Amino acid sequence: MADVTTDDHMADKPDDLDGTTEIVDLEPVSPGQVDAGGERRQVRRERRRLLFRSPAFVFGVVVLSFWVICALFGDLIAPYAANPTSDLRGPARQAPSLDYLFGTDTAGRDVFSRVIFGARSILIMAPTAAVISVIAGTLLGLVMGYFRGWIDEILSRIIEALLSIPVILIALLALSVLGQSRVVVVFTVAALFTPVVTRTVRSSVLAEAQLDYVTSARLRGESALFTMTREILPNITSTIVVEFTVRVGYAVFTIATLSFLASGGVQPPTADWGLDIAETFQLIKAGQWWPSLFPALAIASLVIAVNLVADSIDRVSKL
Amino acid sequence: MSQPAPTDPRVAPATTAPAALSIRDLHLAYKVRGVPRAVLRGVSFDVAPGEAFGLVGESGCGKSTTAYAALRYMPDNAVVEGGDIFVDGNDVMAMSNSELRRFRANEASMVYQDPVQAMNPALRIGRQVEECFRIIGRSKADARKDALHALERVKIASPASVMDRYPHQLSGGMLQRVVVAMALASDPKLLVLDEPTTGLDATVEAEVLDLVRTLRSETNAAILLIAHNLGVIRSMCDRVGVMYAGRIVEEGDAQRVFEDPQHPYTKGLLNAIPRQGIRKTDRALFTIPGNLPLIGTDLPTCVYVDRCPLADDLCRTEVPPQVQVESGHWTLCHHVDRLNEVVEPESNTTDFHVGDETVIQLDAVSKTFRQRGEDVPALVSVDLGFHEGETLGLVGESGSGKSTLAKTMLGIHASDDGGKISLRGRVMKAKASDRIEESTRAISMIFQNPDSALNRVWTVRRILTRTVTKLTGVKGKEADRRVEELAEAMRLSPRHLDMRPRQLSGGLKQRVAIARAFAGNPDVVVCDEPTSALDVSVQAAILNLLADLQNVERTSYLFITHDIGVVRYLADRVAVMYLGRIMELGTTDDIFKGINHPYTEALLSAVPSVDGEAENRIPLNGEIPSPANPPSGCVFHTRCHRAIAGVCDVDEPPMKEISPGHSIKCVLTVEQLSQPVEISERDQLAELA
Repeated sequence: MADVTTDDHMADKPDDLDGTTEIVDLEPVSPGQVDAGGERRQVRRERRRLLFRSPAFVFGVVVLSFWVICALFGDLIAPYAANPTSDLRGPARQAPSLDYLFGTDTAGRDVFSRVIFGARSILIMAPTAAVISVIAGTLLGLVMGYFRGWIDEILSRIIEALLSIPVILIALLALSVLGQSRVVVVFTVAALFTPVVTRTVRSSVLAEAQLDYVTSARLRGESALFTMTREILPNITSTIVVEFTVRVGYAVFTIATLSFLASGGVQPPTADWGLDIAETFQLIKAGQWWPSLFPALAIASLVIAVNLVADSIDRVSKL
Repeated sequence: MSQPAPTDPRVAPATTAPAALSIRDLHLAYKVRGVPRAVLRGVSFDVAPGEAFGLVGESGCGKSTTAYAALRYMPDNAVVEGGDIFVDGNDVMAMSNSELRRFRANEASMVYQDPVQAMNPALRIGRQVEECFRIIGRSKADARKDALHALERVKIASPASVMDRYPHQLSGGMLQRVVVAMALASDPKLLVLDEPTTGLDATVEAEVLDLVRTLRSETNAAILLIAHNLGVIRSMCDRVGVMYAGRIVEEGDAQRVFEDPQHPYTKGLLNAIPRQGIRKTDRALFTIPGNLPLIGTDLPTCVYVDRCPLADDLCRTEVPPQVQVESGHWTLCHHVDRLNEVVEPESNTTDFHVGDETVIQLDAVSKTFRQRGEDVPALVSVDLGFHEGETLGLVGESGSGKSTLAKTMLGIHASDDGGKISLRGRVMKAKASDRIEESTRAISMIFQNPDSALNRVWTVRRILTRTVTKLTGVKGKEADRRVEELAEAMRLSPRHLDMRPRQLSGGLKQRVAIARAFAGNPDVVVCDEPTSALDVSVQAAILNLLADLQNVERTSYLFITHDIGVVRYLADRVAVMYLGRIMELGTTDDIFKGINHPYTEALLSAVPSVDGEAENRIPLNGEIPSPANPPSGCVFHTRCHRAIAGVCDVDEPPMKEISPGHSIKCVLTVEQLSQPVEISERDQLAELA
């Protein structure tokens, strides 16, 4: 953040105009004056309107909601059970048809139903991992950015080291050591994302800590904890929200990859996109593309939807 | 100087001798979150070839937008809603992209506010200047020669070595000269200068303005100068347009407009500036009620109607006519005849007396920073005392150690061992965090920029309550009561308490910051340029408030500023700093009317005044030296116009009292200092540090 030290007041630059700020003064009250919360509500309303006018955001939200509904009400939507008992199974290796929209797999299970049920595990695991990484990253970032000095030096080097190793590699390593349960997967992914979040938060905190309100807090004798959590933290929430949405997208991808590599903490025959692809991708050579293609499309659509939403929120929050 | 006829939006530009710049009824809006908000509401003016036209106004009035529009530089969200722009008879709005490129390369140039941002940091100066010549079709070898010549022309000493440097190796003033050289490369018909000296020190500002004035006589370029500083406009321009809320409300000969303003806004603006040597003891400053209208606000008739003391029903129902007061001088007002009703505040009867008790005493306070293993003395053995109810003005160029002094006093920086800061006779710890509560309460600070100083997400009430509780230990109901008292003293209304800083105007934000500074009943308040981020009309109200508060609370101020007029108005005593040392200390009258240290002499002579030219300007050679290795002897001798070789470069002179309470750090006698000085031609060159 640029340190404003021009010796006279700032000129009216065309690019830093923000005409919406309702400014009030004691003297003559201009018509249409708003109450205290009015201006914030107005900005929020305008932002919301801009968001919903953006096709990318609307598309992302529609796709995302579709998967959320699948995860919540899979039983009502799916035409067949994810793991039907042997006498309820359909014919095996059927190509997509009206009866079986996405075809059936080698065991005669309906691919469409499995894709719908598969949304559940990933939509629980990915946001959980993102939440944990954002909480941990925010705490670390606050401490590093506020205190700087040797704490910051040491943690920065560790973060750089961690970031230089491919995520999947460390994840596989960690999972093989710690065992493959869903809880371990969530925490591993969270741990892997924490350095990235930390770095983002740290740089925001560094910029905030330059500002005079932080100096002012120090001058009146506030504790470091108070300054970090009450003064600085509320000012960087938008960064944190954007970071969270971005992390959810990456978490979906990482968790799906792990389950494809049979380390996702999900055991067959549970419906899971990554796992289903792993079990069926070799059949593509035999011409049976549908059992692996549809889960793959599901992963892609979810990742893209989350990213579209994240991008739009990021863009609007900067306006 | 030819005086073009008053502009009229309905008349097309004269076809015979085209104006260098002609803007006709320009309407422009910015789209913010999808909604267009009007910025320019019918701006019209002409600049004749060779003429310098100034646009003044406060922030948000649209002056920069107009300047950029003249070259059709507009941000993506700009919407031109009507009007024409002609440069030398060519319709700028109708140009295709390639025509526009050619036009900007050959016919019009711009000098920006911040030269550091205007230059590419990765390329050598020479390459960037050459580029301006290459683009107008010069060969590579010619361009190099031309570039060298261009740098000579802007009076840069040893231009060849400057060519090989990178922008970060030059000071702001030098860079701005380079930018001017680049702007003049194509010998443009129109030169637009957007706040060209705003980020520069007064001494450097004066040099850059001198340069532009000299170059003007050499070229036939028309100049459009944008500045909020009326003194700059007055000293540079033939004609001036005063802008308010996207319209020019008064236009005319610069001297006439500033001496005999014909619009209530111009008059108010001029009255709001502390000038003509007035002091707080003389009278309060004139203030313009209300706020600058926001961009996009509906202003159907007179744009100034909400703040005008002369406004009546006519002003609210009918657009004011363009009233011609004299040849080439018109104003947009219904009530020119009633202008004398805009009166200055009555003279002051309040007694601003300074107490005898010393509140804070600094003894031999130094501050040395360590940078890359090198000791950088930023503050060298400063002795200073503040009396109760006294304002001590602190002036000096940037880098002179003003802020370091303030921060060391506050304990943001710990002073070096050996120095002593005492509060009412009791020595305080060096670091703020080690100080006892009483010391923390006793000193507070008002920052330059209220946007940075106030937490954006906290309400005003929370900001104040927290500070009251933290500093005085008062809680609950009583703290609420105290906060309301504070707000009232700052003339904030109770409803402001529940707002967040973003919802308040700049002036109100600064009032909140002042309220916070006074929350603990401080003995000393450090004011670090508290009005430099504010508009003139707002500055006046804040200065009045600070003066009133001091009178009631008996607080001492350490008042840091670049604005000589403000110091003169508010300060009881003034300290002049250079390279971490106090060079001169005296009462305000001593400083402004008495014999000065040569540095003070140069500093004071540099300030462009709205009251007309200073008679004898003393240029300061080169840049302020690096504090890491200060010059031998008197630290100022390298730039001093009175330096005596073999004396000044040998021993650092002690502070000596030349009259009671007036000390200077100079070996020269009072008689020697009162001799006028000859300024040699060589001194006019800007030398490298």
